[in-house]
Amino acid sequence: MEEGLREILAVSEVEGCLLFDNQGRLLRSEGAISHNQHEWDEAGEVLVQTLATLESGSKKFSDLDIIFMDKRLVMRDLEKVILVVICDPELDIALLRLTLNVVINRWKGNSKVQRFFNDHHTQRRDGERIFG
Amino acid sequence: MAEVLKGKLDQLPLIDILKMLSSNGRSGRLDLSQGRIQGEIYLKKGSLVHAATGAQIGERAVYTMMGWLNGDFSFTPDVEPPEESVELATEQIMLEAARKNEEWKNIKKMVPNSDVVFKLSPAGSPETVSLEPEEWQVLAQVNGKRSIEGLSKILGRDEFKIAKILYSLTKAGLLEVGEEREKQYVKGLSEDFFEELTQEFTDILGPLGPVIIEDEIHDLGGTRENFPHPRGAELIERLSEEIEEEEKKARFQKVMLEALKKDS
Repeated sequence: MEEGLREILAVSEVEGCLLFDNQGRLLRSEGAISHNQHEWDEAGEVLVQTLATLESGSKKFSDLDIIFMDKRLVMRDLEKVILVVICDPELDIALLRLTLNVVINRWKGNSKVQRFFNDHHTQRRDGERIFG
Repeated sequence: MAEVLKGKLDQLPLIDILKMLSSNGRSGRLDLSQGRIQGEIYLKKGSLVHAATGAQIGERAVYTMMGWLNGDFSFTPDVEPPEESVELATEQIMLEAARKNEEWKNIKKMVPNSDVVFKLSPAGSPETVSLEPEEWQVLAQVNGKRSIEGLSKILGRDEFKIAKILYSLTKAGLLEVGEEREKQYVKGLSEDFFEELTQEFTDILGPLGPVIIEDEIHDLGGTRENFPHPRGAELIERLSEEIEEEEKKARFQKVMLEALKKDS
C-alpha cells in the first residue's frame, strides 16, 4: 500500500497523500506534509462530516476536487477508507486521476491491502446526525 | 445550425465582435476559445444576456474573455441561452470593456497572453513599496510557474484584474516576466507512444479505434506530430471514457500510464 501512496506522491506537484478511516482518523500518510496526527485527525473529521453532509442529499460522492487558496484537495471514497491527495492547484489533474485509478485498481486485487482496509473499516458517520 | 461568423481574436478583438453583433440586433451564441479554455456569450436581439467561461459567469466572464488576446471565435445565430446571468445593460458593459481594452493595450506590451508566467525579481524594488492587500495576495502566489490563468483560478479574480496587478508589480520592480507556460512544454509524445496507444485502443474498440484517437487529438487542439507530453494523460483519460467494460478500461489506463511514464 505504501508503494501505491508513493506512486501517487511521484506525480509532479503532489505534496502529500493520506488515508483516513470512515470516522476521519488518519491511518497512513506519505509526503511533505505535517506529521501531527492530531491535526490530521481533526482535518479528517471535517472531511468525513463534509462527505456525509453532501451525501445526506441522497447523492453519492465518490470523488471530490476542491481548490482552496494555494492548495488543491482531491478525495476518493474507497468505501472502507478515504484517500486524500494534497497538491498544487495547477498540477496535471488528468495525470493524477489516471494514477489514482491505476493505484486504486491495483489495491482492489491486493489481499494484503484489502485486509488492511477491512481491519480499519468502520461505519460511515451520518452527516445529519453530526450537524443535527 | 450554420456558423455565420468565424475568425481569430488577434485579428478581430472581442469588443469589436460584440459591437458588431449588438448594433445589428443579433441573437445567438458566440463561442470563444483561448487554448484549452473555452467560453460562450449569448445575445438576444443585440443585448448580452448570458456569458460563461470556466466557473465564471455574467459580467465577470465577459471581462475575462475580453482579455483573451489570442484564440478563435464563432457565432451561431438563433441559439437560446441556458440562463440569463448578465445584469448590466449592454451599453454599460461595452463602456467598461472599452475602458479595460485601453488599459489592456498598455498591459499587453508586457503580457501578450494569459500563458505568461511571472517570477520574483531577485533585484527587488529600488524603493520602498507599499502593497494593497490584493497585490500582496497575487505576489504571494507568484512562483515562476503559475500563469495568469492559473493565478486567476486560485484567487478567484478575472484575468484582466490579475494581469493589471502583475503589470503594476512588475513596473514596481518586484516581479519579472518569466517564460510562457506553453514554451515550457517543448517535449511532444513520441511516435512509439502513439503506436502503442493505437495498438491497445484498437484491440479494445476495433477498427474505429484509430479514428477515435485522431478525433480526440484534434479536439485537444493538436496533431500526432506536435502533441505535448504534458497533455498525454488527458488524452488517455478521454479515450478511456470510450471503453465501457470496467476491466478493459482499468487495463488500458494501466498500460498507457506506464507507456506515458516510459516516454517522458
